[in-house]
Amino acid sequence: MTDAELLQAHAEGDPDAFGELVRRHRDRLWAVALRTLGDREEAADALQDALLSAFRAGRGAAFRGDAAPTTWLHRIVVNACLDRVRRRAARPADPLPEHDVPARGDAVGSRLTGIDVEAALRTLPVEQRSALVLVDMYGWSVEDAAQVLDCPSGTVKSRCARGRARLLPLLRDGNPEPAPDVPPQTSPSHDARQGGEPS
Amino acid sequence: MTEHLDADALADLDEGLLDRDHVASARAHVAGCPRCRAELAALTGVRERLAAAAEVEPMPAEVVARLDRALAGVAAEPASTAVTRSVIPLREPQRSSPRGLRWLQAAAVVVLVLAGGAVAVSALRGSDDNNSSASSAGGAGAVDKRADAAGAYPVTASGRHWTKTTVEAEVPRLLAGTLSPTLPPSTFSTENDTGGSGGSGGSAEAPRALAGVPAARLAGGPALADCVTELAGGPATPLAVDLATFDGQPAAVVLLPGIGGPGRVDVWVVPPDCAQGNGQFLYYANVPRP
Repeated sequence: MTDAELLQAHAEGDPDAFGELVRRHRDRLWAVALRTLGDREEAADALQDALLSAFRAGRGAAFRGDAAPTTWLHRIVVNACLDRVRRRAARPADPLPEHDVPARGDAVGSRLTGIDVEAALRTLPVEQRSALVLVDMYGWSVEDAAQVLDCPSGTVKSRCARGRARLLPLLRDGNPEPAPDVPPQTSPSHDARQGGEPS
Repeated sequence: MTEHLDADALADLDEGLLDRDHVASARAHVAGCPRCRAELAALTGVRERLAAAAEVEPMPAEVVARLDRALAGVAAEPASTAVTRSVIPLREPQRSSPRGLRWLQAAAVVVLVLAGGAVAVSALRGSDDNNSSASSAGGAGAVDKRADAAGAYPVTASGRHWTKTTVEAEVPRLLAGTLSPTLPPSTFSTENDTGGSGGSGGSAEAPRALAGVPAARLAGGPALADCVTELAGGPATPLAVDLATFDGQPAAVVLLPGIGGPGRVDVWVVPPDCAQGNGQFLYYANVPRP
C-alpha cells in the first residue's frame, strides 16, 4: 500500500494503518525532531504530541489531501517541535535545557560525531534551524520544506541564508576562528539572566 | 561596490535572494576579491557540514515503545460517539486508565447537558452500530439538541488576532473567561445566515461588528456542534470557544479536553466552514491546562 492508501485506510477505521505509516517514517521523523530540538527527551515528547494529533486528524477522513503524507507528517512533527521551543521561550522560569555551546578549538574531535553541528544549530533562532535541518541537512527541496514549515518558499530561502551566515563562524572549515558569543535564540530567558534574576 | 560583503549578503547572494542590481555589483566584487570568494566557499562548507551531520541513530527502542503505547491509547478512544459509549460501553476500554474514566465523565456531562431524553434514547438505539444516529438523516432533531447543548460552554467573541505563537498564552485567559467581551451563544444563533459570501463584512472592527465576521456563522446552531464532533471524533463539550481571527483569517478557536489526560487541552483552530465536514482545520496544538 502507498502512504496515501494507508492514510485513507486509517481514515476509514483500519486499526493498523496509521501504525504502519509511522513505522515507515519514524526514523526520519525522529532524526528531524532530534536535530531540530537537539534533545532526545524533547524530541520524543514532540513526536508523541505530533503523532497523536496526526492520528486524530487523520481519523474520520479529516486528512487534507493537499500534501503528500510524508510532508504532512513532517509538518505536524516540525510544528510540534517549534511549539515546544516557543513555549519554552515564553516561559523564562523554564528555559531550554542547557547544552554545551560549541567548544572553541575542539572542532576536529567533534567533527566526526556531528556534536559541534548540533551545538552550533542550537544557537540559531528555531525558524532558521528548522529550515536548515530540512533543506541542508536532510535534502528537502525548498518547495517541500515550505509546505512543511507552512510558509512561502522565499521565506525558507531567506531563513536558510541567514542561518548559514550565522553558522559560518561556528562551522568554518579549516582553522576555526574563536566562536563569537552568539546569543541563544531563547532571548526572554537570556535577557532575564542578563538583567539580573528577579527571584 | 568595493566593500567586502558581509556574511548575510554573501549568503543571500548564494541563495539567489539579492535583487538584480545588487547581484551584479556583488558578483563583480566577489570576482575580484579573494577574501569574499573564500567566504562564499566557506558557506558551501557550512552546507556540507550540515549534510554530513544528517545521520542519527534510528529511533531508540524505548521511544518506539512509548509511541506504540501512546498510539494504542488514542486508538482506544471512542472513534464513534462518547454518548454511545457511556450509555452502553460495547467496547470496554482495555484498561481502566484515567483517560477511560475521563471519557466516561465527559460523556456523562454530555448526557446531562442534552436537553430532553430523546437524544439519549436515539443514541441508545443507535448504539449497536458505530454510526451515530445523529449523523444519519433521521438525526436532524438530535443535531439541534446538541446545538442546544452548545449553550453549556462559554463562547467568547474577542475578535482577537490569534497566532501560533500566542496560543499558549491566550488559552488560560480563554479558559478563565477573561478574554472579553463574552457574549452569550444565543447572540449568534441567528447568525447562521450571515452573508453567503464568506468575505462579507469588515472584520477589522471586531468585536462590535462581529455579526459580519464569518466565524460567527459557526457559533450556536448545529454548525459548531457538528464541527466539534468532527474534531473530537465524537460529540464532546468544548471547554471554551473564541470567535476571532487566526493568522489573519476568520476562525474559531475551540478548546477541547486534551489528549494525554486532564492536565491537557486540545486547541483546534477552525475556519468558518469547519462544519461542512471537510475536516479542515487551521491549527492544532495540545497544550498544558493551566
